[in-house]
Amino acid sequence: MKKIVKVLLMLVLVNQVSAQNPGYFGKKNVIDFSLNFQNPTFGNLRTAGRKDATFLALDGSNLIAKKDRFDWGFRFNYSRPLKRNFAIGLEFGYDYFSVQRESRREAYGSNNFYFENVDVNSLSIMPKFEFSSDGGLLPMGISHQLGFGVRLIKPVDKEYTVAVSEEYLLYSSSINIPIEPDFTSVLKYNGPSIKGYTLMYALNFRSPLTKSLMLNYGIRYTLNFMGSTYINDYYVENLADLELDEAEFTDIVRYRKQFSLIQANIGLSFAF
Amino acid sequence: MNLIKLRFSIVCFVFLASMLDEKSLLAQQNFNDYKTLASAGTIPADFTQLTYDKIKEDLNKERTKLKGKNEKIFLEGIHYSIDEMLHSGKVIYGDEITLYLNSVAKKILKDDATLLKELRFYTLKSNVSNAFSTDQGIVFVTTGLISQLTSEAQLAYILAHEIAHYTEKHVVETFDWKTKTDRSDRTIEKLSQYSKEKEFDADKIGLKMYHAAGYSKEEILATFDVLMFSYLPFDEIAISKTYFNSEQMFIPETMFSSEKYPIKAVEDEDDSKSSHPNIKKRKDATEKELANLSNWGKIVYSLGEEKFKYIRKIARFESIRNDVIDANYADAIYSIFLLEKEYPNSIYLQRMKAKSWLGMAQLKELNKLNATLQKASDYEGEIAELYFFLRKLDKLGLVTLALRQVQDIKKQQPDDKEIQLIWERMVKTTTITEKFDLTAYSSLKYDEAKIEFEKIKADTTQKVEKTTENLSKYEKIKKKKNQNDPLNFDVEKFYLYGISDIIKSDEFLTTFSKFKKELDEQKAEEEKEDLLSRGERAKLNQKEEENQIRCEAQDLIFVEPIVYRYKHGQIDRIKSEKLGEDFVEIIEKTSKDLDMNVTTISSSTLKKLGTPGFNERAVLLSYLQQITNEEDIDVFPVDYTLLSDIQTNYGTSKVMFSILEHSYQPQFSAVLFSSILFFPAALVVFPMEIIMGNETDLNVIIMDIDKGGIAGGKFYHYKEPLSKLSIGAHLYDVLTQVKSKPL
Repeated sequence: MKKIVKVLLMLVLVNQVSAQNPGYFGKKNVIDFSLNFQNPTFGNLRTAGRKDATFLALDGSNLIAKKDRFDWGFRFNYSRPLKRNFAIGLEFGYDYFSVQRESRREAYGSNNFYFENVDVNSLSIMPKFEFSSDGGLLPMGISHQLGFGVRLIKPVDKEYTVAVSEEYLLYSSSINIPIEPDFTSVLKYNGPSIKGYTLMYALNFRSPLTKSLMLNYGIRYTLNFMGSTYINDYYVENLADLELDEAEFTDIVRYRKQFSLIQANIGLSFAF
Repeated sequence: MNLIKLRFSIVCFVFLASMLDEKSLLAQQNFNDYKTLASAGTIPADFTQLTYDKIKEDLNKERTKLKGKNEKIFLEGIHYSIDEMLHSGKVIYGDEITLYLNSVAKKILKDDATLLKELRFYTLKSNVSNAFSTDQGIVFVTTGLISQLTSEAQLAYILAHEIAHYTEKHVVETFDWKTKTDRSDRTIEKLSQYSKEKEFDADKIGLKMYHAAGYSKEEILATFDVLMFSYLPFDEIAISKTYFNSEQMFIPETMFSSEKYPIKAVEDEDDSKSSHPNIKKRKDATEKELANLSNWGKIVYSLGEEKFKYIRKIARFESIRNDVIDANYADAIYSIFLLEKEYPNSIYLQRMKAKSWLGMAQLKELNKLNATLQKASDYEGEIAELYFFLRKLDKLGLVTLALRQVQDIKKQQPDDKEIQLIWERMVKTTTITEKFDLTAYSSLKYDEAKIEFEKIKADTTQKVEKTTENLSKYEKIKKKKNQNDPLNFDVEKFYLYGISDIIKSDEFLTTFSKFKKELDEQKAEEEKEDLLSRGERAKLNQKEEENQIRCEAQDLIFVEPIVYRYKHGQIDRIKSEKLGEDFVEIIEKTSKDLDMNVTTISSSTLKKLGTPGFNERAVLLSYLQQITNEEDIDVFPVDYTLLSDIQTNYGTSKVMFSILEHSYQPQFSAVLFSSILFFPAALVVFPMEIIMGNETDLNVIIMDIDKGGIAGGKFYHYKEPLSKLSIGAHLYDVLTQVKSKPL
């Protein structure tokens, strides 16, 4: 929190040195609100053919394999141009995505455990720098944005289905879909809340709509970092092993996010 | 007889003038105080109507047989190129020359009122001798051509020739021929052949019109001579070797050429690649036609000889201004030499002379004067002597002579503010000229020094040696350098004896010291900057960049922007013109938002501003052209007085010029290339290319009339799609800075 206050304070103080920049029709503060979307193409490509990592969603009482098609989120950003081609900003973001736990096998029997995908909430805060070319006139126009931020990631608090099936899927030649479980159960993942870091580059564009409103859109590339020491032994000795602990959660989120390279975003920017 | 003609022409002139509104009642030029030609009367629609409206209008007419795409290409091509000329500031209407052209045209078309009504005649301020007609029915005649003619009849023949081009639709026929001709057949020779046929045709039809108007047969072949030699100055008079001498300055004859330079033009030159047949062929063809016509009239001057000479004199005075704008200073000096015999006290000639010498000194200081002078291999005619002399002068010689000349003009016109300012700039030029050291100049005049030298020379050399033998090496060197010592007299360095009075003058010394001090301070500042660290220097550069157009101006004159929108690498004229209109609208709105008074002088506001606005725009554009032609030097405005009037009228000396260019060209080849290298990269490159395919350049120049030059400029390159708001945001930035104090 102290850090946030410091950053905000800095933004206010730079007011005095930004006299060179006329802003957008004289308005030097900008708030962007944008929605972001992502198709986890790379993630899907990577899990294609891997039965243990197939994305499973609930369909009635069955779990069926689906493509992980769409992530979304939204962001608020405050930025202030210090020069015509340089601005600083602070961005708050919320992202919603899903991760898939890998299936397990009963240690002393022939049952396999299949997990419904886990919905994840992610909150982020990210100081940013915006650059444009020499002829730029921030906040308007194309800007290159660089940011490094922190994420707080948590599974959505709800009941998730776990299916137990005797089929020996792991070594079959094709995935037996839908899984017809011998029985199902539900799990709640209350525990893990993890932290991650994001290095971001965005190519953003603010296109004027009125003298104080702009349409903003663009694409962003992120590199997400989070440490993981988790090793999946694939065997379930007792039901407690079905719980999602912090190490596994970190691992599956890391696995998922490291392939979330490209996002598109669109929204509105208010200059004042 | 002549008197009757003269009286008739005066009556005609008065009658014609009374038909126009009061502003166009043109006062006769006083050549001792000549004012550059300006437009008068109501602005013709040719100048105010938007180009795309003209195209739309012509598409509904049936003048051409062209259809569909070809008709559109043709109309766009002719209208945009001609409108560019009409808006260049060089074309004028309602002035004395244009009225004269109209009167002569009226005489030629006395039996064809419909055709006369269709045609419009305008004067083009240019020293290129030319007349041309367009498919729109406009005939342009350059001041350069008028300055070369020797009679009204010759002008009538040229006008008749141009009218024939219009009536026979040669412009559109040539276009049609080009589009229909197979590409492999479109050689220069074939085009030349086709074009020459049209010229013979125009000569023939023009001749009939000329004949019908009652003009004299004798003037026709003489017109071809005018055309053949029109690349030379308007007269051939040898420039005297003593022309640049004055009470103080003496130039030895050795500085001038002993040769004569013959005129090289011949009648039967190779015309296989020319648009026009050579003069011999034209003369021969015309002579054949002459034989077919009888009952020739005798008119040489229907409007009077005096009137013609008066008009030609205006064109000749105008040619000097054109030369100064184009930095052809030597040509200007020669024309002044030709005209000042009749008008030795003309303030116009003296101002132009002072500007020309200043310009030459400034260019010489930068070693760039020779590029404006004819090469020795091209020397031709009497003007060649002047080129020879100017080329032979070394840097110090030319700068000193220029100072001498400007000083003498100042002495003649001590109360003229403009000449005073030119003189000051001349003194400033001497301070920056390499090796211009006042101590090197003799306090003796050339003849005094020469007499002393001859006297001492008559003495024995032994005696001279005796006087120096006891001196040290350093005293001997000093003695050799002292130009006051008659023994150091050197004919080649004649200029060192040419400003003995100036270097003693308090006014010169004070002004020289002032500029020298400024220069020293500037040098000290630069030396200080050299000692700065890279970071500090970058900061300083940034500050300088930021201060480029900050001039605390509340009022601003905004001159019509030059706007180009490109489509597939070519200018989309219609969109460009519409964008130009938007640009003007945006600047007016933005200036209101910022509480600034911006007066827009552009084609779209001309209807409102009227002829005064049109003339002001022409003056500003001429200055811009002058600055562009002579971007290396601190150019003195050719129309200083008129610019000062504009400054007074609008209460500001700040003028803004702008150029906007836009194109949308995503580089899909980059997508293809990245796909070949690494397919997924295309997912990144493709959206980037789509977003970043817009390229807009906005260039803004602020000119300061008061300081006589460019105050600063600003360049933006951005990639937003073009919209009124994106232009508006940038213009907001520009005007905010113009309004602000320097940092």
